[in-house]
Amino acid sequence: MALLAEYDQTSWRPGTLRIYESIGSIGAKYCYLNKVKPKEFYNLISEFNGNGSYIDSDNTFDNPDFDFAKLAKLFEEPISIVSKLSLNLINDLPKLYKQTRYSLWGNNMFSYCPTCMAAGYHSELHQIHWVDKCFIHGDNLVNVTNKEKSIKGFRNDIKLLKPIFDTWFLNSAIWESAKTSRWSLIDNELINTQAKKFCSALIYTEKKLQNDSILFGKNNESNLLLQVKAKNSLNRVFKTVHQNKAMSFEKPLKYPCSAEIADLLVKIGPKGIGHFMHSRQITCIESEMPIWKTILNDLPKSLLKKHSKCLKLYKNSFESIEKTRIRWCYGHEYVHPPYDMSRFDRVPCPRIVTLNLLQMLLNVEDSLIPESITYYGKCNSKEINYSFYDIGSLDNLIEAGIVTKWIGYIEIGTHQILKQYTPGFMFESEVEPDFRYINIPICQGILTEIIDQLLLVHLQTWICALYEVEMNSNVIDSQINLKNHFRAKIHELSPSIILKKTNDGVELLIGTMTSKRLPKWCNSIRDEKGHYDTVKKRSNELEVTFDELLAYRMRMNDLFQLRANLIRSFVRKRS
Amino acid sequence: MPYLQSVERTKISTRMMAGRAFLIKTPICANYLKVISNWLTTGSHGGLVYGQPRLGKTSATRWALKMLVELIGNFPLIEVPVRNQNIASEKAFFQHILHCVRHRHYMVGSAGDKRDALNEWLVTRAKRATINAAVIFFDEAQFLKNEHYKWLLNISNELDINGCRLFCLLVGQPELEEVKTNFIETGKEQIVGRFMARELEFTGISAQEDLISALIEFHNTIYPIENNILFAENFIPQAINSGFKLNALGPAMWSAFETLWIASGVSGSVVVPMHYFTAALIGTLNTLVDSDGEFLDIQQSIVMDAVKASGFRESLKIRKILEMNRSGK
Ligand SMILES: [Zn+2]
Ligand SMILES: [Zn+2]
Repeated sequence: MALLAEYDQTSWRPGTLRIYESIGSIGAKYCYLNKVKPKEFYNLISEFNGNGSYIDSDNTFDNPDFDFAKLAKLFEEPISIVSKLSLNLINDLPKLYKQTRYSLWGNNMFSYCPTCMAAGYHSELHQIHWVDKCFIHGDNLVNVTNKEKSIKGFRNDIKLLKPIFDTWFLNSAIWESAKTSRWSLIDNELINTQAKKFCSALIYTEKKLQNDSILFGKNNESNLLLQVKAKNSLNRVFKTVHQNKAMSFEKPLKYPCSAEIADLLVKIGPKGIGHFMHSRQITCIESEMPIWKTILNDLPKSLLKKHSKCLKLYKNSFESIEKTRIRWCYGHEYVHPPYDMSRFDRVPCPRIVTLNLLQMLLNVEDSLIPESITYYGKCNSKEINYSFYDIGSLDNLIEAGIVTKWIGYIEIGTHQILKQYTPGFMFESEVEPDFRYINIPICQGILTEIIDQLLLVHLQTWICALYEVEMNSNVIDSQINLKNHFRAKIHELSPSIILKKTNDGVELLIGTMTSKRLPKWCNSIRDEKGHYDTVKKRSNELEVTFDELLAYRMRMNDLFQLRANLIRSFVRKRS
Repeated sequence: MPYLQSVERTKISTRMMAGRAFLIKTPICANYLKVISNWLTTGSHGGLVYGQPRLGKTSATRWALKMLVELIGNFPLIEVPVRNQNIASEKAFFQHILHCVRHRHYMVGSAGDKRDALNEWLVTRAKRATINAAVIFFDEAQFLKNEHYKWLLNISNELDINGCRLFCLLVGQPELEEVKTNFIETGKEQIVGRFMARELEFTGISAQEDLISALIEFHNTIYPIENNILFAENFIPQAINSGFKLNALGPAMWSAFETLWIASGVSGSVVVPMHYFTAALIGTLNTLVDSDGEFLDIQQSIVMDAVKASGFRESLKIRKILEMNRSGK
């Protein structure tokens, strides 16, 4: 038997460990007490990780192999505290987890409560991305970008060590007793009480969730809130920690039908519902005129009210730009025109921006279905065919009369007001065909009613997002990519919906993040004359900038050509 | 299996001589324990323990500190051997102490980092100790230099600030006394006042009764614990089972030590360092292995040979030379 010297002595202050304390918080204290670099702490932790069997979590302490007993022994902390470092309590909620993925910021954010930090405490419960208030104090959490890189072999929460260390031990003002021999710390009982409230709201919801409903929505935070609300498990703690406090929760919409139909509807699943929303949108005929279609048709008109002159100006300036390009680029076929799309986004009138964004919305490829369920790799420009492998039993749906097949041509691009002002469009024929041949299942009967309701809710969100972007002049004048910003806005305001079986059919529970009233587009402009003058001035500026850039590029091209010719003649002479 | 038994006996003998097997309570140890206990519970910051080599200071100190835990409760303790260590710089010194602590991170960091890490280790544990103190036991402390005491003073102050205390137990050879005198003469009373205010001269076994009581302790010791047998059973099982007791060796052993002492011409009364006593006992037991039986016949010559082989005679020769040198000056 070899006698191995085991260097198992480290410095820790027994009694200072707190429940649900993050590994970053513990690591920062460890490094301070032992006067070592984070690397030493990583090495220590790797000895507790066991085989490190894979789990889908950013949290070190959620590793089922983690040796808590060994940690308790090393730190001389009671096992009752050490075993409460893990968030397993709320990680083992499969129904909620699957649908909400309430993951940690882990990757790139350090999120903390100033009051907790002042009491020497940081928790993984501060890192949950949809939580923006401290579960203990209710204080607003501060989010800071964490530039630390991932460390191979460790979960991402370990990246919190350095920012926490710096906060406590480099800036001395945050936690007053940090560098003394006696730390003043937050009370364990307090954490326990508050954490219990927070976790029980989630656990209660999970318990009440059954497999009789579909949940959809782009925004996981809103989804979670809707689920919690729908199960009446919304308590005070949950309400204050959640960032989407503005969700309005309407009375459920009831759709009576037989139990068999209800079963079929729920089995369609969120992906299938997405397909039907898409197919409904492209095949809905004028005579049906559901509300969403009317609103959509009227939208361009109301958007252009008081701005038709702006559009005309934009049109003229755009045409002159294109003409310049065509004329001067003749013989300069290698010159790439300065189609800086961000320049086109920042057109002189914010309303033109909105029209541009609207055009983006109405592209068939980008229509009113949740992003998560699109798979456009399967479409080419001439044909749309879906694979219905994941809609459930298509034959059963057709037999029940809620789905039918639709074969024929659809017109595309009908709403693309600004399509002709897409650079390159004007002088090129047939960028895209006007019609597509499709062969797809579409909704019928009660499913159509449901789909129309869903499309309406989504359209309302879209219009509100459009309006919010236009009203935010800071964004329009900044260098932010407007399309991305708009997408993010849609995501943020995305409604959450639960389709649920009831005793006498199905019902829709809808949680919306926008007001039900549509924005009044006309009111946004007061001084019509002044607005027009500004737009005119800025249009001219845009033209000049474009001309200058184009001229510069052509000059560079000439120089390049000249040089190439010289080299060529030089080579010829030599030979 | 006689072969295996002999291997086992060799192992036990070696461990005994290295002071790693078990510690025996002798009257000297009992006194030592009383003294240290008094020092620790009366707020001292340190003490000197000095004596001739081979007296068993290290073992006795280990034993006393171990017993102390049962008397006054747990306290943090570091045993720091000083002989032959590279501890010239502050960084190396604190690294050595952290190494003795078995601190996981003893290798990393600057001198300051190591000092802080040691402070933290000491403070956290001292605060939880009933005596509110941490003990560092420096073995062969006569090798510590000026700077080492200065660095220890810093640590000691740090513990004071945090409401606890560092106790340095400086165990070494008689030169330690000279170090102390030297400090006083060169105006370093601060160090003396802090760590050397108390002192104890450690001696060996100096009476037959003491030797016998040590033998009784030996006899009653169970070793190795997992085998649940008496220590001497490893050597002479039949005799022990028939009622033989180790203290029967006492008079023969004492007289052997006394004879050698007188023959060496060393002044003063007989003092037997623990080391030679242990060596003589183990030597005797090893010789008796072959004659083990119900009735053990112990001849004076067996004991005398073992005492001679213990190295006691050689140590007395050196002592005599030192004595003559001193008186010659
Ligand atoms: Zn807090
Ligand atoms: Zn305008």
